[in-house]
Amino acid sequence: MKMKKATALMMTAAIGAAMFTVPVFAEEVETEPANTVSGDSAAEDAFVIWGWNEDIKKILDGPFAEAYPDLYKRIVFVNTGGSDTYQTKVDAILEDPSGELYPDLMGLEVDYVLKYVNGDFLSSAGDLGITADDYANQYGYSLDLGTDYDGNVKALFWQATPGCIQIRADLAEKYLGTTDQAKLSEMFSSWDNILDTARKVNEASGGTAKLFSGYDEMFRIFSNSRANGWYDENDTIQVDENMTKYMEMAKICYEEELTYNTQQWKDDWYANMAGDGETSNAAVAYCGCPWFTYWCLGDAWKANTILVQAPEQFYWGGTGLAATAGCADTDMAAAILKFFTCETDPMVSINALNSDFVNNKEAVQKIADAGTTCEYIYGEQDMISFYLPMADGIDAKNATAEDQDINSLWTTQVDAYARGEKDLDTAVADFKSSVHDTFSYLNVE
Amino acid sequence: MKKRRKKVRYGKYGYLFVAPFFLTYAFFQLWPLINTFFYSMLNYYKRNGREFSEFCGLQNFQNILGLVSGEKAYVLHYFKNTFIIWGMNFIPQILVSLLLAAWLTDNKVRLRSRGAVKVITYLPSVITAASISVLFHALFSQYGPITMTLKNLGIIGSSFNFLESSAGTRGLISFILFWMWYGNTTLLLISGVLGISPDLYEAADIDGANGRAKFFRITLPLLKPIMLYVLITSAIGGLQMYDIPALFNVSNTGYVGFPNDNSTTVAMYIMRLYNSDVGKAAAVSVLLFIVTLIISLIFFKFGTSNEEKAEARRRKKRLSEGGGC
Repeated sequence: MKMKKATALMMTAAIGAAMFTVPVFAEEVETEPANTVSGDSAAEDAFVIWGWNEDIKKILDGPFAEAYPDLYKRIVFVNTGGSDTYQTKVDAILEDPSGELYPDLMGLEVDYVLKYVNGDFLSSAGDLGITADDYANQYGYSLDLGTDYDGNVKALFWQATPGCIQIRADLAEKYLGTTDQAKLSEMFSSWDNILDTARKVNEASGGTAKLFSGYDEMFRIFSNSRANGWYDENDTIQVDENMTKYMEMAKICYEEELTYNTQQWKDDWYANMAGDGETSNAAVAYCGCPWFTYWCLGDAWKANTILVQAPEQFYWGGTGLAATAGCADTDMAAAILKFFTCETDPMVSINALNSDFVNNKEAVQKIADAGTTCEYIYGEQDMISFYLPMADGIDAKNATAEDQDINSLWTTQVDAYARGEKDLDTAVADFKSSVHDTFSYLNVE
Repeated sequence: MKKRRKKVRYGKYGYLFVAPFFLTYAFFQLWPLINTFFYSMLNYYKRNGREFSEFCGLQNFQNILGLVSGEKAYVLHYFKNTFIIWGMNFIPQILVSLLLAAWLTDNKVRLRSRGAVKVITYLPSVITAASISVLFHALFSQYGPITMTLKNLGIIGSSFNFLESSAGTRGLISFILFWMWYGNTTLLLISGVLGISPDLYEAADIDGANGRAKFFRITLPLLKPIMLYVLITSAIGGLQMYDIPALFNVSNTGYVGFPNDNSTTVAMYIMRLYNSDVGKAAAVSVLLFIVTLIISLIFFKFGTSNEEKAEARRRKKRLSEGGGC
């Protein structure tokens, strides 16, 4: 009798304890978008490719299917429906190479490509039979992003992403008095000029239009042109001079109300892109790069976009492709990688499909020589020719594997500083300790 | 003369029937639970997808509580956020639910189409948390319809931005939780009120008690067990709050709650750490478990009335005197 009672008590206690704790990890699922799988993943020769949107798939469906119809039939494409949750999803699936949806090839974004490149998940390009001659035409900075500590090239990029500032022509005419590319370039040639330009827009519009939607528009320009990444080779967290300059710019913008303080990719940010400056608020300029110009601008920017150089030479984003360590068919992986990232003619056809600035010097030169059209560009400007000189000399040595997470911790401190809640030293110190808190192997000096 | 009757024991079949539950429970809940305690004592982190782990005793707990130099007790800030958001949601929720439960069960309040009212109060909790978060974010963003309306009416200043203000963001998260869950709480309380014997109300009516007296003297005291249940389940759910705050006003990774980390809850923190430092994440989970346990026990202590305790003591005494069953 006693025994039974004890058992019953223990069981009740155990169930009770479970009620208290278990759901902490279990609730994650609901907040993630569902995967979309196309193709027959159960087929014996299925070749699985992972990405977070339809970019890769469109190229596979278009030029690739035409060039390699037999290979194309075997492709299973998994779209995770968003870049922000991509790592969580992919990490779980990479643990088991025998899984049906284990990727043979996967897309990797700049913000976290180094995590996979420096880990044990990927095959090197050399193992697939891709040689340095094959990717000789690629931009050097993209190769840096795909190379591990030991110098093995693992991820190859099909797009190069030189950054710029995009200006809406009708608003520039109205508030800055010109649509001349050279004059506008001058207005954006230094940070002081940009502040002056922003004040000018404020004055001319009376506050219904501002130069930028939010001060974070300048974040990528500062961060992706800085000399030092978020931590040095001894894993000591560091804040580059560029980043403190950015904080100062943010503070000035906040105090003088030079922007609407929106966050990139949020509703208000999009609203300012579509606004007209009279009945609704509008932003005159957005930080840009090739994929942004052809893919992210709204209707108000059609035949209405002028591209100018930013004060610093920077890159923004970019997608790499890499074969996994357990890739079932390395020949096929090599064929796809070469098609996407090495061979000139296929890469010209990729540009024809989506207007992208492909990561192949010979191909972009060809494209520029032939002349390009992009429905968003105002007047005579040629998009690829404009980006061409800016792609040389980009330095991506500042990228780290943890950039995505560290950047969001950084944003928090920049906001606090800009709003006057903290002084600069406190904000920087708080940033460092919060990075150390999340990544215990990174140290505060 | 003693007669020996052979008893048929059906008990063992009972165990057979409950076995599937306990087996699944042991594999999928109890084992991970024990593991969490174990992981919390490992220096277990991931870098570039490689995992490193070694035993480190209570190091993780010292780190998260800021007891070691160079470490800050971030977890306390996230507990504070969680408590504020939970409190601002729970207190109004229990008050409104009580009022609704009283109205919906009182025949003197001639509420028309009661069924419909019950369904409507329950409806918000049917919608997925994800959609509600996105919807509210759109409604209350800088140019959202509600923000614009409030500005035009002069209720909020023209430069006010809900998503830039800690109070605004926390308040909205609390409101969403309140709005989603008050229907559920109301239903629980209604079932509690309906369980109270109508004789008591009748007797009170005969004695000439008014509605207020009946509510405070009969309904409320007799609702205590149900209230206790609501309080404890809400505390457990509230402290583990994740989906709404993690989708509402956050960094693109979803682990930093804007503004200024002031809408980051403990569960969001656990998820943030889980991707880089499993040991620390487990330590925070264990801490959350302990805090939840303490709070539940406090509720339990204050929720059980003195009479019940006396009754329990009497029963125990009788049992020990009678020598068990």
